[in-house]
Amino acid sequence: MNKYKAIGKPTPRIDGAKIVSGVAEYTADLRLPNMLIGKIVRSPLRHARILNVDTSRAEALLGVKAVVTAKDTLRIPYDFLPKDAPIQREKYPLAVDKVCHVGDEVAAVAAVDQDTALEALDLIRVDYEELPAVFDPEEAMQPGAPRIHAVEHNIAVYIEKEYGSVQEGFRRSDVIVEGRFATQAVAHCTMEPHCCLVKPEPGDYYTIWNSTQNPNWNRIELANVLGIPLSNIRVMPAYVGGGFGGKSKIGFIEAPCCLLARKSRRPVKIMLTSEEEFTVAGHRLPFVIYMRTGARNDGTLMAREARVIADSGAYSFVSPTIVGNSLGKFFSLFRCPNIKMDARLVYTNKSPSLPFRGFGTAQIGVAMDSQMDELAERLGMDPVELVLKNANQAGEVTPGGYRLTSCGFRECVTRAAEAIGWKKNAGKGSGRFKRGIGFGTSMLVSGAKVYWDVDCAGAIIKIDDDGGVVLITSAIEIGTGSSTILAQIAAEELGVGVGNIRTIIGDSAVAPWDIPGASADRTTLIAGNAVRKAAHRVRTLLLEVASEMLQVKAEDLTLEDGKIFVRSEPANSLTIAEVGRRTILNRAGDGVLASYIYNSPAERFDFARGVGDISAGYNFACHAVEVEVDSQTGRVRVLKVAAAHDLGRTINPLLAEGQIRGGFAQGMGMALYEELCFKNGEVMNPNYMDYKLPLSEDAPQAVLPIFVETNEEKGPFGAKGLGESPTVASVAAIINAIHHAAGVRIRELPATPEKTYKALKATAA
Amino acid sequence: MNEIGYFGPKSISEACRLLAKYGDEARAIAGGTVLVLLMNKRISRPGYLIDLATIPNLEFIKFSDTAVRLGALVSHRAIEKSALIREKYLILSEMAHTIANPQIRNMGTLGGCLAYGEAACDPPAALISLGAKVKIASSGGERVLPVEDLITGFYETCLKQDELIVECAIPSAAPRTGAAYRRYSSTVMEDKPILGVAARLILDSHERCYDIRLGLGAIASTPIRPRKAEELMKGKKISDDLIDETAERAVADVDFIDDIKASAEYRKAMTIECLRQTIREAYQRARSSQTT
Amino acid sequence: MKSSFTGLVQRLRQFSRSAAQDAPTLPPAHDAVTAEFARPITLTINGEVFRVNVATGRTLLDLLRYDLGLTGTKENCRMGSCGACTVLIDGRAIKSCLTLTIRLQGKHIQTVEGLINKDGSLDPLQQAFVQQAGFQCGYCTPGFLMMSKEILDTNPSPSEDEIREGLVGNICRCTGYGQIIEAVLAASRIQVVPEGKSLKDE
Repeated sequence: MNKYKAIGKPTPRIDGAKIVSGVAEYTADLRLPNMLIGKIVRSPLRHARILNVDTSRAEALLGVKAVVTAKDTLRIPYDFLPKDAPIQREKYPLAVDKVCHVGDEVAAVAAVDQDTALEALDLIRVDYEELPAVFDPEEAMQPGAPRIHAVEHNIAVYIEKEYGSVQEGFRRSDVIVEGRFATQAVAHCTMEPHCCLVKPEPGDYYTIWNSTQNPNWNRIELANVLGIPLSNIRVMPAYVGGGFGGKSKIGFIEAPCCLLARKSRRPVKIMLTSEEEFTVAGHRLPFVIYMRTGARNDGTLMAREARVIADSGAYSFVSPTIVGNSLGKFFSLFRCPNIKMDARLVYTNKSPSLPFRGFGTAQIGVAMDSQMDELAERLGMDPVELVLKNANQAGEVTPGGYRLTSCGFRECVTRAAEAIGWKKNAGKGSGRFKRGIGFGTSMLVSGAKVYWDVDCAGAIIKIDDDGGVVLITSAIEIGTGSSTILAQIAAEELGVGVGNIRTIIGDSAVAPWDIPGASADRTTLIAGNAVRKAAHRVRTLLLEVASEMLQVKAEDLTLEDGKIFVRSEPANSLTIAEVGRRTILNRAGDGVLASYIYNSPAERFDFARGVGDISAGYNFACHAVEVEVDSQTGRVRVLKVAAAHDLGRTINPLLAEGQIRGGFAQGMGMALYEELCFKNGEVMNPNYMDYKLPLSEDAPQAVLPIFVETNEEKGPFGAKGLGESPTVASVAAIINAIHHAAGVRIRELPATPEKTYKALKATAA
Repeated sequence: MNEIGYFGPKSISEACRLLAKYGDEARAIAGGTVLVLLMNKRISRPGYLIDLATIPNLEFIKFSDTAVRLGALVSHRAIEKSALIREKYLILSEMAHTIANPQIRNMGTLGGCLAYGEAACDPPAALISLGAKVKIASSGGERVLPVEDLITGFYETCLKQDELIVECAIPSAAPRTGAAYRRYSSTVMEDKPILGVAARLILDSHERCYDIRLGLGAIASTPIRPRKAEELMKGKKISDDLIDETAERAVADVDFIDDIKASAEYRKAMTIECLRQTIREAYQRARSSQTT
Repeated sequence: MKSSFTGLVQRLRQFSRSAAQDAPTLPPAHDAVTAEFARPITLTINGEVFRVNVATGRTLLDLLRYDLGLTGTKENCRMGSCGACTVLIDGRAIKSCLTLTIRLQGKHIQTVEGLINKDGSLDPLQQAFVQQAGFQCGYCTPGFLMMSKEILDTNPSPSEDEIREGLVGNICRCTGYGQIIEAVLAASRIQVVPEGKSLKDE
């Protein structure tokens, strides 16, 4: 039974009316008086040395107010990781001496309107000396390949880690499966393009509205590349029209926008076009994975080995940690005594890859889950049984260093299988339309302490004069419903209704420090704990003052349904407003106001040893998906999804279902449709007509969310993160379901109709 | 921005004269779904726009005993939703229903679609199979052209600078006619199909194929009417083998588009498959009804 | 021209190059009309009459967002694919990014700002989107609401499949569509507008 009043309830979004009436303000909607429009001058070439940039004609154009190039910068690269992190620092706000991909930022202009800015772009003359380019990561590693940055073989980062001895493990295996898998570049396709608006103030101060998941990371980077104190930069909240990882770091427009604002001394806004979104705003890091898995005849995993080549594109940026995170999952989801991964992050002359929902785990997960399925087939075992046999569980410390304090992985697997009717439908289809069921798994974090030694968020709670509760959070709303979730947590802890709470997302000058923003499934656990603790402080204060007012001991009082009363004598009560007002009188200098900054108790990732219990809580998932394969066309239709998630505690089942359904659609897009097609480094399908993503007719209605509540001791009311696993667990489930239905295994994503069709023909032949 | 001159002509002849006068600087605008897109992306920067929507009476759907005439500015949605078209030319309303999405169908017009010569769209194949003809007006007069002769290449038509499509006429179906249209795309719904195929089949009193017309769209630089394949069926008793043979023959000489959406090989295989189903469906419809 | 294009943009570029055809030599026209570069247009937006002077190339999307400050209608692809800019013209859903304002003399436009009831309460569709979580980031939502309005106005009790078909011109990256479809179904079942939550409560 749910003992809570606010937790576990399907509360609709508290800001819903704002969204559906069109008054929610996104950065894209904002304009300021005297504002200029900024545009970026981009490289038309894949790899070239910049000989000269002549901006004089653009500067002379009527209406152009500023043009900036690398000369206007400190020539400092973006650099956010601690010095001990083995990464490259090669990306500058504006290209310094060479460009490395089509679309690379060379200069920027600000003009009185968009047409003038676009006209100015055409007037900027850049002389290039073209250099040889390379686009395939495996070719880029070969001797003699064009060198993109100052590293050997274009390898930005090399990670190698072995636990036990895989050689020994494979020797002791009865069955070994191996194969090459490849995942593709998937575009984030946020409905609001990257967009920022910078207002400069005298003294090198900047106020910024930005469509970002991560205001403080923006501040860190901007302070660095602009050479000013972080405190000079104030990031304002605005609704964010989707992120999915693509806005989880600084974008590539904020620094040019600040430079333009600095030079013109006027507000400047830059918004990417949708073509720019597809071509330069990042995509999921593509992996090539050579994987081997060995097991005993009874299904016990003995050894797993993965060799990963990840296509960083022209700059590495966050990609080293994406590769690292895939290693974390590889080492932690299944129990395996001998395990090894070596991974190379390789530069190519394409636009840079970025984080995307799953942060490397969707890519490695496709190979992991496909091989579990293959292994089950070879062993003649039920794939569910095989997964259960090797699944990690609570109490274990994985070779990656993760301490699994709560783990409902096995229950997720069992319940997903049960819900989809796995045993009953085990037969393969016949005729033109073949049906099959597949399983996919996921493990992610609830906050990850990787970049910084803190993983923190803050909350301020105050009582208004009428007893209303104002919650100021540092957590920005990117669509997950975090403002509602946090209000529910505050309401539960305080003892008031959710409707009495107004969640305000604080700007960076008001809200407590929060890093790293809306990423790593961290808001519910990290920001939620901050809210809960701040609410607890407020509650304690209210009860103390009330005890003075009622002349009873504080411990004899309670606060429920917005009223403070004596437990044994409920009629003896006070309203929050009465107590709040009295607090100012009774406690000179104080009102009812409390704040809390919660820092994850996790360890910071140890780059030297490649381990760390980086998260306060690990979430788990298993999706069972039923598909129908049209053997005449290769087209795959998803019929039904059973999505089981260990999210610790369901704060809001309505919004959790939204995360699962939306995550599934993105996983489905990755599994079946989506791919940015590069040809000689240029994106061939940079628009929604040629880039296919799931539409209303594609996504299944039959998605059954299953919540496995394991009550994580470190989570607020036991809750952990949820957002990313729904995507990750879907991809492999669909691929395995195609195999189960039609007997073909697609190892290079996406499983387009054409690919599936060809595989079917090859099998038949 | 370069300023754009706007004309709101009141007659077809006035529009044609304006087109002639301003030459390549001018663009006629019907639904605008292609032209405004091109202008937004700065691919097309016309000096003058000639608005066809200000010309009265271009949005008609007129039925006669011999044909239905569709005005150039009839929207795809109007075709899709017309009860009479649904009754007499089911394939047209089925085809119109598959075009892009409801908003684009509300905006886009049949005339505009044909005038752009876009190969990867739905109407040409269906119209070809129905024997549709377009009426083209110019400052010098009028001419009539079968749809299959209109489109000459990627975004190329035989329309001259001062010519406008003013209507499209589709002959009424003979008794014992069946027609079907099928599009294929790799997801359930895409703006543009990978292929679209249409068949219109007339049976004689002995259940033999009296006449057949096929239309293939989106698979090559122009829509195609595969006459040799049509000849294969005429006068013959219809069988699965004959349908298969016809479908294969229909694509034998096609130079298939090979692009990111589908390889030439896959397009070809899917065209054959869809053509089989479409001919079969047209045959079933011909057998079961007196009209399309 | 060979059949070897690779994508839409390439095709369009191709188009722009091949568009120039031989202009016929004809006697000069004697038209009364002369070109206008801007024109005063009177149109009704959400029941309010506006008189605006618009340049020929000004899209309805830009008029709404940038000239009139009605930013509820969203901007993304500007090629009619994403559906975020969907509004109603005389009751028909269209993509405002592909609509030139100069052609809208006398038309009635409805945007998301015009959905809300006069007393500030939410319309049944809006209520249903909130209740069923028919949005996440919310950026595509105004477009979905307007398209859904056309669906319900023309077919008061649509089936799930009819709703799915009706919404294919709108992209949502967050929700996976399921809860949007439930919202439209729920709205179709609301016969009488119940006591809505007032915006003033927000």
